[in-house]
Amino acid sequence: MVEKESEKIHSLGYSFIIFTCFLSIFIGKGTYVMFSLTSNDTLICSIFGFLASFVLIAIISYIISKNQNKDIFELNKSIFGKVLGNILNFALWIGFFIVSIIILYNMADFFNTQYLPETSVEYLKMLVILPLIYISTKNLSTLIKMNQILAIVSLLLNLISFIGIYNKIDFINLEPIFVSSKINIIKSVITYFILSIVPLSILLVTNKNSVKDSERLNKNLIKVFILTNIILILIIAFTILILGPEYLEIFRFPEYITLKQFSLFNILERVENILALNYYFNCTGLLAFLYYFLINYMPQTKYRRYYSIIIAILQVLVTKIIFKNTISFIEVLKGYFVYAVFFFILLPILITFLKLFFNNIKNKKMST
Amino acid sequence: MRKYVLVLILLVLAFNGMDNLRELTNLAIVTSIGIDITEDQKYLATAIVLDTSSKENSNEGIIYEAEGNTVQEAVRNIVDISPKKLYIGHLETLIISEEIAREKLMSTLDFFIRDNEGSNNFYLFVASGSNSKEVIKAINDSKESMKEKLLSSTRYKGNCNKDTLNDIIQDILKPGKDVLVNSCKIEDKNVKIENMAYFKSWNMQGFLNDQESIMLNILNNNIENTIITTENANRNIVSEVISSKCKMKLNKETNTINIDIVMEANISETGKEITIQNKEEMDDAEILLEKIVKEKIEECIKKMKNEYNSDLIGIGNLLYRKKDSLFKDNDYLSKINILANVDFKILNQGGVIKKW
Repeated sequence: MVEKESEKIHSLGYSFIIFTCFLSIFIGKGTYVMFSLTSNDTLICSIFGFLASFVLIAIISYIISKNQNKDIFELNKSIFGKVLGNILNFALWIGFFIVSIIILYNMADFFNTQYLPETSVEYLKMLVILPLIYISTKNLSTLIKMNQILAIVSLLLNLISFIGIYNKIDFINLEPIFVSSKINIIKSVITYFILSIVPLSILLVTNKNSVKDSERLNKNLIKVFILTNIILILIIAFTILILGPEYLEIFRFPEYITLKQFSLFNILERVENILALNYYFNCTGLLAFLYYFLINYMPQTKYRRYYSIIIAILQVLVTKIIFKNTISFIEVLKGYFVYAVFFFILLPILITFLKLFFNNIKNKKMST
Repeated sequence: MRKYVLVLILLVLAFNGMDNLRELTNLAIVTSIGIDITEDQKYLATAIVLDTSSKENSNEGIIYEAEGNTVQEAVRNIVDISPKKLYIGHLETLIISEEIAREKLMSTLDFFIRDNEGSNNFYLFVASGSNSKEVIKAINDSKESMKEKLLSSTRYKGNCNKDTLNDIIQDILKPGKDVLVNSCKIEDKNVKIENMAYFKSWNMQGFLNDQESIMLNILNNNIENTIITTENANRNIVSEVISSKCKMKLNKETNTINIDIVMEANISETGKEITIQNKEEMDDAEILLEKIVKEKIEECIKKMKNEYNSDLIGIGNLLYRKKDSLFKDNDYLSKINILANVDFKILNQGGVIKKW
């Protein structure tokens, strides 16, 4: 098994996993899928999606509270047995691997499109991966501390961005409301709901016993969850209100184009690249946890330290084979990504939750 | 662990800068570009590049021009005559010829919209009466910034607007909205900001006159400051508008759009018979100015509907946003009633008591 942490983690730092991972999974990916489905109705869809995703945080909190000393992989094996447990764990592993390649290619695509169009995407992937290989040698406690710092910097950058682009908003860009078809609106809400499971499931990387102040865990989780969703909904709102429904649809990274409008007192302008750092921070945070997750499930042998390199090579190869270019990546993103998250992450976690839930009821009945 | 760190540092150093590495000294920073169509239907790009080698504090740049079958090709062909590749991240103005504005606007702008170095925050001009190349040369010779000229005209005259390429593309993409683009003209070897060019869909149709430009800017909320005059020799009132807000409301039942304009102004000049010393005179002046603005607005809207047949104030967009079925009618402009209501407020009469 992975080296166990010598020091326990703080509940707030643990909760901040949600922040970086949430923004990372949505910006440039989830929001892109939603914008292409519902354009300016995305704002309303994201609010409904946020309300619906409270169900998910309730499920994750339940799993954490009922499982004091196991991570999700150990838990699955203990409640389903070795065979079924391993099937579920493997599904989760595949799900997280898919998420990791999406995040990796999206980052490389962003750098390639916006900054380095003459540079090979493979080089850019390497640039993203190198620090991750190093980070993956650290234990969870260090990862969480790193993530907390990145989350705070990202939060500050987001707040500065909101102040700088506030004067560019135009509320008429919200109209006309509900012109998207009902099916697309439902799809968009479901996209938000399903993708919300990715950051929340990362929380299952450890157990409640590892948290120092576990009595405050639920409270902190809810607080950070609400804060993160507010920030995300504000990002969506600013993008729609500044670019308008027609203009935002033409861009691959509308959030970044919105940042180009940044102007603070007409003095500070053209700082979109500094503000876009939070995109890098959030993605690095999520990828670091995904590496930890993926390594954690692999057989714990003496070669464990090379696993991060194996995963990195796998990521580069798979992305090279599947994503021939940006268009093929967009097709996968729009067509399969949400389904993959549903079948490989949400469904296994739902199965674990239901099993735990019914086991718990059964135990209660037996004890009475 | 040290091994890891060392390898990482070496790798990061090895990858530093990537293939896009361009030192500041290797950048040809472009401030203005002009695009024309040549006789053999090629694009001609003329660019002003900042002269970084000049030791004098001069605004004069170096002009490069090249032809190509596409905008990208024309701009890239400049590499053959310039030692550096053009960098358009700091582009201030893009001048296009009338021919491009009339026929090839979007295919020309496509290159600039896609370019990752720029932020599309530059100003677009249609060259009126001459080609873009001549305008670019005149800009360089006059050593004056077109951006500064435009901002001054917007701020003190109101016959042009501050719309950047971003705003223009946003308007072009909006259903039921035709765009207005600033224009410029060479006059006595100087480049002068002219009245705006009006478009229908993606094609330029013509140029507005001075009053129409101002009135349409009032209707589009693009006015910072302008002069409104009653145009009556002895009873003349000249007011300087310092704030103007326009709101459009749709009444679906009567197919009417009510335009409410609230303007605040200061009196800057009066005719022989006008004194404006008391409340009654002030009210009379306000009513007179309201009437003048209303007449001009109505005249402008009438001309827009009947003569230009372009939706320059976004009537169709309002119908679209309010999901009105009339929007689907191609002839919605002639079927909708437009009523203008002006509330003109005089804030200050110049701080003088007229004794002459």
